[in-house]
Amino acid sequence: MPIKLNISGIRGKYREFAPHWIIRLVNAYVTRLEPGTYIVARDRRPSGGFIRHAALTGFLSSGANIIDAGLLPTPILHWLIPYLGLSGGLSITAGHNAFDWNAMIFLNSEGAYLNHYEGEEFFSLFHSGTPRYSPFDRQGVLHQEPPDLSPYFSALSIKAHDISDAKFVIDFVNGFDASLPDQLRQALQVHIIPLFSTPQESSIDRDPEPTMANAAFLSTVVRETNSQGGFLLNSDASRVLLVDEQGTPYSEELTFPLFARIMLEKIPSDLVTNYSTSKLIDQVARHFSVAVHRTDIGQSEVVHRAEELGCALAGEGSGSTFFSGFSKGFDAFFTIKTIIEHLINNKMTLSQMLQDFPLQPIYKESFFLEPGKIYEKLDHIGQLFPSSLRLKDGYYLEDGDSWICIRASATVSMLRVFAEGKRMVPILDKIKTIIK
Amino acid sequence: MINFDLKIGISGIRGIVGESLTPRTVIQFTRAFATLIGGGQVAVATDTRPSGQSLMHAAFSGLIFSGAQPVSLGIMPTPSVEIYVKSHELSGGIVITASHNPDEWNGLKFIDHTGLFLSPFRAQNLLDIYHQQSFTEPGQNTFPSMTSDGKAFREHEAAVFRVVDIECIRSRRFKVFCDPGAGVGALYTRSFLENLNCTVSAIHDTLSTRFPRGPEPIPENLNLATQAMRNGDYDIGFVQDPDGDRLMVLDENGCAIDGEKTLALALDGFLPYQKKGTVVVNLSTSRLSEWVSSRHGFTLLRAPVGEINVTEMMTQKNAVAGGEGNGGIIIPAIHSCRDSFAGMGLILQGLCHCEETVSQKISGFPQYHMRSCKIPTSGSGAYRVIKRLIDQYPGADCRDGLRVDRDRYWFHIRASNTEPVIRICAEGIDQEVDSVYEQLSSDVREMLR
Repeated sequence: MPIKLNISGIRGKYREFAPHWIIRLVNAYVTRLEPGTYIVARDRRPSGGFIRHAALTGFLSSGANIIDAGLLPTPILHWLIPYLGLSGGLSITAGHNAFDWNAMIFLNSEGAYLNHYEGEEFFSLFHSGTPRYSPFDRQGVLHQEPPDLSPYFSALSIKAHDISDAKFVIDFVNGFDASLPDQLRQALQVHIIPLFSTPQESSIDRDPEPTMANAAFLSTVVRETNSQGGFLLNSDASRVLLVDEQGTPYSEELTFPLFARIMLEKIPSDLVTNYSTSKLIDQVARHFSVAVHRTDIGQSEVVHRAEELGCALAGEGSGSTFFSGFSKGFDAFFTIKTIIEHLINNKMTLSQMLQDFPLQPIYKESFFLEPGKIYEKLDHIGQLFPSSLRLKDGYYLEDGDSWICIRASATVSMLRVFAEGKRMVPILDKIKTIIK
Repeated sequence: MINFDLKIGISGIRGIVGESLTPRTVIQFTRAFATLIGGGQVAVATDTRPSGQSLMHAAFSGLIFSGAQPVSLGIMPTPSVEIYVKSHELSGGIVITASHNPDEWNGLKFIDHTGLFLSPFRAQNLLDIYHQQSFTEPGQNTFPSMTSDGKAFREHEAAVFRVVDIECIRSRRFKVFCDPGAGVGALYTRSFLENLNCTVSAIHDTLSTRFPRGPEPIPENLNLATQAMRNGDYDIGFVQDPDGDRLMVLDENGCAIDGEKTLALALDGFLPYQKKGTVVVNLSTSRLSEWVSSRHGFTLLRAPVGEINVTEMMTQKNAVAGGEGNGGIIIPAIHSCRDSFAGMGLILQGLCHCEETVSQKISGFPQYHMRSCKIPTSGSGAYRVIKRLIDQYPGADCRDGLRVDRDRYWFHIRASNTEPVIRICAEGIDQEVDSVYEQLSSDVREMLR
């Protein structure tokens, strides 16, 4: 499976990340910017080691100074880059993908994913094929001291009374440094039972995608420890799935609506999400009399659209949320902080908060295809449903509260088909036949 | 004339950073090396060049991707790495250094599991893998992680101290001046000498983005050191190259003693305390080493030019010492590699056991007159010239070009291993060698026309 270049992550199986190719990529990223200081971090995937070393060479040989932050989740980079006044950063993580995948996610000086224009410039330089290395006396400087994370964790501090008894379980999917649960515990000031937080580099303890199917162990621990809830992360802590105090897992589609409902009580704002996210978010928006703006799929599209429209809140049905007042990226830790704070201050349980969200049936399917076949199939589908809305990477068809979205994955050579509502089943079947 | 900016040879590769030597070159060579040695642990170190950090991480990445585990030794002298590879039974080592080449250069030296540089056949094997790009590819989704060890120099120092008479040296409380040229010696030489109870003054012992003087330890690069020594009161001065394998001495007056005499001083400080045996130098090394060896009852043998050629012959002949006239001193009891720290220890030991100053010791050596030059040419030009000359001197030594020995002089003409040049070197006891040298140089230039 070849690597796919996309501003939402340059993603592929570990074998495809040839070190000299990584260096060229970083060189193209740095060459288009002013000389400055960047930060690089990775998750615990086994391939992260050689990718990190090659990336460090890419920065240093291109004349950029670099902070080697070690094992650090992407949301902390989103926050640290503007806080430290850095020129940008690189997160080496494949997030929800399986552990034999990896990805390189480049961030700009605001800590956000590259926008469309930055991405175009970056890839044009990369495709030009001529790396521009710095001469021997203008090599970058490597800073190996880990950055001080206390300002980030201070920003996550909970503002609530009487929190001493609160207890939650968090599944860290072995993605991060072993010290992270403690730092989070101190910030949130609640008791945290960490799962999968041991520093075993090659350990593949569970599929890193936060889905209900992967939440069984977390559910059991929540029940057996009488905790108030559980949070299931992906390996870069950009997504989170919720488990209530009875151990019941909820679809990742509920995370953004719940987050939005809590935040909208304090901050009036329109909402931004993608075309593949449940209509549940529209119910929340109606309740607060705000609008929902839909955009193409991917963190870059959603966050940059929110910025363009001046919306403070955004998210995706994959369990991701964004608050512009905190950072320029999806941050599962901020989501957790927001939910815990609300639960404690309102003396509510998670099941009480989630019971108001009647979720229609949701269908999520992916179809791997040869790279050349994807757009041929999309054309066929577009001709079959002329009333559908043409997206940048696919089609969207709506019927009341039901909808179906067919699109080319931004990161992998596959077509993704998402639908909501039973009314969409016949259309879904027809589309599956075309794809197959 | 072709400009060979990237030099690929048996002693490793060297090129200009960001131009002929790119991170890609380093990645591909380290992948080839990991493939050659079949994985395992590989020590990786760098000299003090600012490009060293960047290229070191390229080496880590290339090694890991092809299944080898890097052991980072940080900034470390080449001999320390060679000793470390042997004593820790690693699969190999890589030193990121362009040795004495100017600032803008960098390169890779490859060390086999024996702790020696790759033999010519192994080096050829490495080049084949590199050119054919037939690297070990990642298998399962498991990769070795880099580990670090900052103690390699202390182990090296201990090895030197086991061989030299440290108590005697310490008792003399030598006043030593050193000029590591902002190379690896900037981090280690002062403490090494202080551990021998020397009082140390130094210049160029902090790291910077440029070398503060020409990095090769040759007299024309040592004006500042000479001046500083003349303003102080010292017993001896030591000068090193950037990766700490070559040494040059300054006498108590700050006068530079060339590499040939430095080697002779070290041998003179070492051989009197060894069982009689063999010494090995290269075909271009001065007869001074022969004189010192013979004076102490040792037989001197000559090997083709290149550290690995000398050390291979030393191993075959079970030699007690060896070296090259560029200030490379090799003592197998420490390790079979050129080692400036071994050289310092032995020269101080030699001074311990006599009442002479350095200049007095040197004045007791026979005075040989050496001439040398390099003449640019292509590979085919060198081959043609040397072939013709060999025909003119039947029975002469032609293991590495042509070496002709006469009673009052000798000369050696050979194609360089690292540059597109013919090197001519001649030495004699009087001015007769000048006319031999001039005639030879003129003949070679004529043949190349």
